[in-house]
Amino acid sequence: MAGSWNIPLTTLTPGVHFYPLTGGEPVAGADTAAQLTVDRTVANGLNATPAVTQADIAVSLSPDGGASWYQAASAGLPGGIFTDKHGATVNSFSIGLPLPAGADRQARAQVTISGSSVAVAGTLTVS
Amino acid sequence: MAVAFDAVGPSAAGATSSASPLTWTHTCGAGATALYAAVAVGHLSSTFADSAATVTATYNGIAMTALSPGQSTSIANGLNTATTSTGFIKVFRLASPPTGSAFTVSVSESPAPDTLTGGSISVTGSGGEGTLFPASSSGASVTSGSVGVTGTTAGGLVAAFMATGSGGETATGGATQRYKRDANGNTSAGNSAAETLASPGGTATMSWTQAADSFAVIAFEIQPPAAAGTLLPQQERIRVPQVLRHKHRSARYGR
Repeated sequence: MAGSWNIPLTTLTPGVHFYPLTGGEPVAGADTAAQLTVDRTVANGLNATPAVTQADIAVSLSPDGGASWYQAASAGLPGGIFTDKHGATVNSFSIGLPLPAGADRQARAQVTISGSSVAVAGTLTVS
Repeated sequence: MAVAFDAVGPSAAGATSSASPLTWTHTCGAGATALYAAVAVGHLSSTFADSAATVTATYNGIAMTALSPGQSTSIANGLNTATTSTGFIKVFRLASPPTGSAFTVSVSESPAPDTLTGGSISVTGSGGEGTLFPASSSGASVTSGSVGVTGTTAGGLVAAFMATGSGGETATGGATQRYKRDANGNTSAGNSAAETLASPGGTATMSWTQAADSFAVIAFEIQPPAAAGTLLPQQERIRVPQVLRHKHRSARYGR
């Protein structure tokens, strides 16, 4: 069954942070895709942070109920204001990927902060 | 015998065209066992949906096979819709390609794109491909990316083909960049690149840096004959979404 788990609004210090804090969220057998979304607009978030601070956002997957993990996909998000091809400020970021098949899968979000502390909020969704 | 890189086509500079077909030459060495050609299709969201595009490829007139035939399915669900997508990357393979001469790779795409970019790599010692590992991003603020390719075995070669919105792709993490063609920033897929990495055994991380924008990537292990398996039924096209900026622009700015 599809699920969605929040990364609560938190100011993260430099280093690696996992959501959930330990283990992972179960992925139902019918789920085929994962999407991790981050809000850049929160107070003291990425849009309000100098570019020397960066959040590396990753979706990690476990094929064996949490016994082992691998980083399935990631993206580096620097602080600062970015605009899209229409000139609008970029306020959100998402990374998505299909889920490999498996019977005992789990998923978790990984946020790695470099530079200074920054506020992050987001959602990990599997469907 | 390990899988090894053989040659790049047309060169490390890749190829581009603003109209279909996109053509370039590739010379496969005498021992080449497979040729992989990739094309990034950048188009304006108002012109057509990714799912409506038809892409075919030939090498010296011989039809190449899409690595995962069929329509785009789940890759961009929630990130994208068929009407706002602005490009994708697609990879083709030809086993036992003709060798020794500069034959033409020709990629045809319709409806008419804004930009096509691409290139090709040939390898020796291959027997097939493992599972495809695609990923895509939206929200034009990404300056680096990675995708994990699990289950690799020593002797294989991992390849990643990526399309980006603003170019500047540079392989990192020990991978070797094979080509890069940065055409323009008109769309979310007007630029593309490819990189390879000798299979480390276990999970290979294919990573790169890029100019701030979105990306779509597809990575897989090219395996020696004994290890080659069957592709899992994942999608053929990895859309580069533009998506959230549309969603949020609508939500926040009412346009």
